[in-house]
Amino acid sequence: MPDHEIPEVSDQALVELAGNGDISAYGVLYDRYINQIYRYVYFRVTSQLDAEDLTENAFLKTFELIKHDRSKIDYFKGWIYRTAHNLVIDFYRARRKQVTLDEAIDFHDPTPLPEHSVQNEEERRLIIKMMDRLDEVSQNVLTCRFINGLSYEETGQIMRVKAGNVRVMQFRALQKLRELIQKEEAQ
Amino acid sequence: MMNDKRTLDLMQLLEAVERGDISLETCLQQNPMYRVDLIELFALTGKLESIALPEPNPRFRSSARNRILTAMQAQEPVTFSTWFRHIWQSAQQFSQRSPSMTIALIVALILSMVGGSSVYASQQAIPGDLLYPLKMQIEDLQLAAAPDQVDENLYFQFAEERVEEVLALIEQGRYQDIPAAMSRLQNGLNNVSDVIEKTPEKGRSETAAGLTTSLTVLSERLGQVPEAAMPGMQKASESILRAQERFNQMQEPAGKGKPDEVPGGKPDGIPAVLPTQAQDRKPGNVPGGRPSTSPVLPTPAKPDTLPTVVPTIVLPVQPTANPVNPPVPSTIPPTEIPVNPVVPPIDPPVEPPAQPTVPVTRPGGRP
Repeated sequence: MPDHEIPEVSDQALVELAGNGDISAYGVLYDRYINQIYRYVYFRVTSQLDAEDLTENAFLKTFELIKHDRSKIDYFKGWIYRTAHNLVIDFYRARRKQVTLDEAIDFHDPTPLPEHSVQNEEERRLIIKMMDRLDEVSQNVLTCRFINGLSYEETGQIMRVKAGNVRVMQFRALQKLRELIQKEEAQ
Repeated sequence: MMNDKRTLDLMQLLEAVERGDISLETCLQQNPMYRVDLIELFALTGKLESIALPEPNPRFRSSARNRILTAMQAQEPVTFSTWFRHIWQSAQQFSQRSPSMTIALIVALILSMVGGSSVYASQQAIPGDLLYPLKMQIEDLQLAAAPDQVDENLYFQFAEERVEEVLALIEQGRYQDIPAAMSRLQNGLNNVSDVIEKTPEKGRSETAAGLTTSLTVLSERLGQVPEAAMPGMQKASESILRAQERFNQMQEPAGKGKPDEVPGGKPDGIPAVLPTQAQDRKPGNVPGGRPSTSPVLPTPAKPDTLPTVVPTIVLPVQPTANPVNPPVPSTIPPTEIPVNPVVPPIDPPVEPPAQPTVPVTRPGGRP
């Protein structure tokens, strides 16, 4: 369902409806957040198949919570991101990150990218490669803030930190990434 | 310290530009010492934001949606029906593993759910009632579960219950149910006779007296039922009297006079006012009566109007100077007969010494 056709019902109202057995309400939530969650997960695992599995699991797990104790979900967007975030962590704990980001993109991503110049493509690959070398927190904060466009508050909810801390973590992550890129370009 | 201030300044400038509070050009002009850092950081954030990650595959998006919603349908919210379905599924799994235990649990469940109220209600049932068969089943279970010694008392109890049922049917005018009830009463009396015949040495004076009195009351009440309302009533009444006679003969101690041998006259053992409840008819509850351990009076003869075979009524009436009252004319209604016309002052009844009780011990049980 295209985004513009999604009825303007608040997430919380849809959660209530879904908790009462209204499956279509959860369908609306799915349509509303599937792209964001997929992007978020994809940038972290860089494998289309893994990203699809984790995205689907994130929605299933969130529904489990809605079914059993939806009072915990006071902010659906933060919750679905948090669920995806935890799944990514579990994924890496199990896989120990055997495949690097750029390798994954090179060999496992059959999806054609949007139009871009060769220079942009090289920059993109470099950024993704350096992102892969960042620590977990830095990766997460940069993904939330710049890939998914979440606010400081939303990122804080996902990472379970205050918005002020997100600002600091974001700046440090940007500094680290800049240094990594500079070192890579210098070689 | 210097580094912390630089970090703080850069953070604030980045945020100010991001929020739109200040343009990038103005920011660079106002903060030339951070110019290089600001340019590089803004370039980096721009590159990060411009990274166009692929959208999810439309096929995956659609199929995942279907799978998730299908899973939701299979996992409906926890309601009473889903809760019951889970219980049912668990019970099915359990029954496959242990069929015998399942049957036992089902019986226990039914008894606990239905039994509580239904069993209680069935105890008030009389022949023709919906719950009467349940009452019969419960009595059978009681007999099957009770030890032999308790069995004998149960036969007395059940026979008296049959009498109460017939009395209730008469009172309610349900004459059509009386023949079946009389048949059950007959069976109950036969069981009592068998018990007395098998174990004549056991003293049951109180229980036997209660049953005998109940039968007397029943005889009277049956006599009030119009023959037209219940054909065969006379026959039924005679049947009861025959049972009474046999019962009394068994109950009489050896060497004691039979009813027929007692001089004539109205039996003074019949209380002036016949109680209607079995409990009230017990000797100890008869007004002016004595405790059940009182000596049994000689059985009086019946009046001429009664059938030739008269039951021995064992009632503990306070003995008077003349143990046998003079004959009372049959024209005088029984209720006008004073039971004890002259009652001399007597000492309070002395409780007989309690018989030593023999403790009954069961394996693993209390004495």
